[in-house]
Amino acid sequence: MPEIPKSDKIFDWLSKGNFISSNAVDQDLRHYYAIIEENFSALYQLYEQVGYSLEEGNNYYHFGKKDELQNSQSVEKKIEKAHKWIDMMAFFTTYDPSFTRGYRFSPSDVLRQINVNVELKEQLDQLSDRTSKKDGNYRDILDSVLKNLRDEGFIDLENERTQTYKVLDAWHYLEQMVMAVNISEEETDSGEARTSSSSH
Amino acid sequence: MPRFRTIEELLLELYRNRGLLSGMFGKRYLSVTEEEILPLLDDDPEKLERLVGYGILEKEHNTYSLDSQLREFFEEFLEINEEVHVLYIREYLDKIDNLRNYYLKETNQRRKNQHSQKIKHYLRRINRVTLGNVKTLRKKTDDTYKAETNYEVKRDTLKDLRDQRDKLEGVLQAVEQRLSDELFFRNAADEEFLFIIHLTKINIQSARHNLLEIQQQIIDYLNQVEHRSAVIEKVLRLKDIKDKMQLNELTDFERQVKDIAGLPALKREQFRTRLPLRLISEDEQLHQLIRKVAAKKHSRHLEKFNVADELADKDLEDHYKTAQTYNLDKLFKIFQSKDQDLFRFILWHPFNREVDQRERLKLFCRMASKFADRLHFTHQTEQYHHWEYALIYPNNKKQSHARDTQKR
Repeated sequence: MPEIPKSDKIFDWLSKGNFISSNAVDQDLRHYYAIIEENFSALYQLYEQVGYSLEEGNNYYHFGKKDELQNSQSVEKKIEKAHKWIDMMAFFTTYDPSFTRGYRFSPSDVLRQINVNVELKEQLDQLSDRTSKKDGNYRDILDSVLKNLRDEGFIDLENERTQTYKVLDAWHYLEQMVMAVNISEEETDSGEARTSSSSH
Repeated sequence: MPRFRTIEELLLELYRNRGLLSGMFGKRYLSVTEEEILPLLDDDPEKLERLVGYGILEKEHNTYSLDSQLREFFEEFLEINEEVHVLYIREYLDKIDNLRNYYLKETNQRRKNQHSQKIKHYLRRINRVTLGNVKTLRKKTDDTYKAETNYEVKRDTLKDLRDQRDKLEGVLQAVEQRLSDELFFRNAADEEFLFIIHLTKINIQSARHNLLEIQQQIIDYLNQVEHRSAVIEKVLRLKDIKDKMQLNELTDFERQVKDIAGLPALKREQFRTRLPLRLISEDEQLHQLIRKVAAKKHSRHLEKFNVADELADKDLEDHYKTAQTYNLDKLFKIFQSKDQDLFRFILWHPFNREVDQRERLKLFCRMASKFADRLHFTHQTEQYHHWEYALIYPNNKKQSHARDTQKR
């Protein structure tokens, strides 16, 4: 097998549960993305040998692990995380419906909205239970939420001076999760009735 | 309302106010107040009034804008039109139809030429407008998708653009059909005419290809917008259900989440690796590093455990302990000059301080072992209190002592 540049670095990064998005702010990560894109099948085989499957998303990559499904502990963790993600997504979607890949925002924009939108404020209160900053002000809670999302690789700070964040392609991972969930018939019916009545 | 009587007059007036015109053209989508406009007219309100009077500027309440005819003319001529004008083409096509009709019925050659000249003119315009429209459509589609932040407006605008595109395609198709089917165009009167028709056909064809691509793009964008709105709806619904604690009853959330592929859904884990021993012995740098870490760890260890209690007062008092030392060599020399066995000598020797019997016994043993090679150990023993000791003499006195003992 020919040598693929940076395949060790890529492994290090992905094996920690990180994403590699094509629109990453970090130049190295964008470089990694290009490398994977070019050598996907070779890298897939390489990592498969050590028990990881290289998963391809919509403009992003991440790792999967073969034995992760058997482990009940990891399933529990997943569910816990997914709950948190729904709260996060609902919060940012309430903030701006166009909040998705490539979207840019700054914490002060969000805070301004929080002051005039009670629903948003309540949702942030809920989120604060999940962060370490339980007693801080809204700014602290929001910062902690953003840090969390940033650590998980869904957003990144694009401009330090203007505090502009960018939503990365990995956000699609969350959308995919949400779209996969099926809501049972009764709820769907009433839901449709509700949306159709609101659209008239 | 005063009017311009000749083109020269109009052009002169426009030229005089060229600064104003270009300024106003730049702000054609904004409403401009009197304060903003006056600096462009040397702060002369009369000039402003005159321009409004001649219809070069339009006044609405307190704001001014460029006359719409002029604005359209500039946009059209500079090809920076931002509207899609499907109707223009339709209009030109109607005019061409009429002119062709006149041309065929006209018997006067000069008039015939005039008509054909006009037809060429309108064909050229169709050419220009078509390409402009396609460019505008493409640009607007992209702009709408990328820049429009309100997603409902975005969706509606995209749908509107799709309609415009459909109409444009329809009208272009009509033009193309006219040009290919009509005998009049196929047997055009002169070379120039043929060339223009040819050019028009090529342009329309390329425009239609472009339109197909734009259609694809619009459909794509609309799908994405629809998907987006589906995601938004789903997120908010799930959140709602979740807040009502019905997530497990009403959805298959847990089952789906279990199936999410990928490490990002799991808690982060770090690899634990051990250093290969081989490396430690080979790599000097690594070795040093380990020593450094070990030293740090060691000192931290000591810091932790080596904490003494406070000193008591009595610990601070001075204590003296003296140890007596003996000059064994000197003692041995004295012993050699004496005519005594070692034990008795040590026992009765006058030291310069008091030395007890136990101490003297120790001294006896030390002397005996240290100078063993210069001493004569006899086989006889004697008793002193409860101690039995060997009679030991210096080597040089051996004989005399042997005699002594025999005497005894």
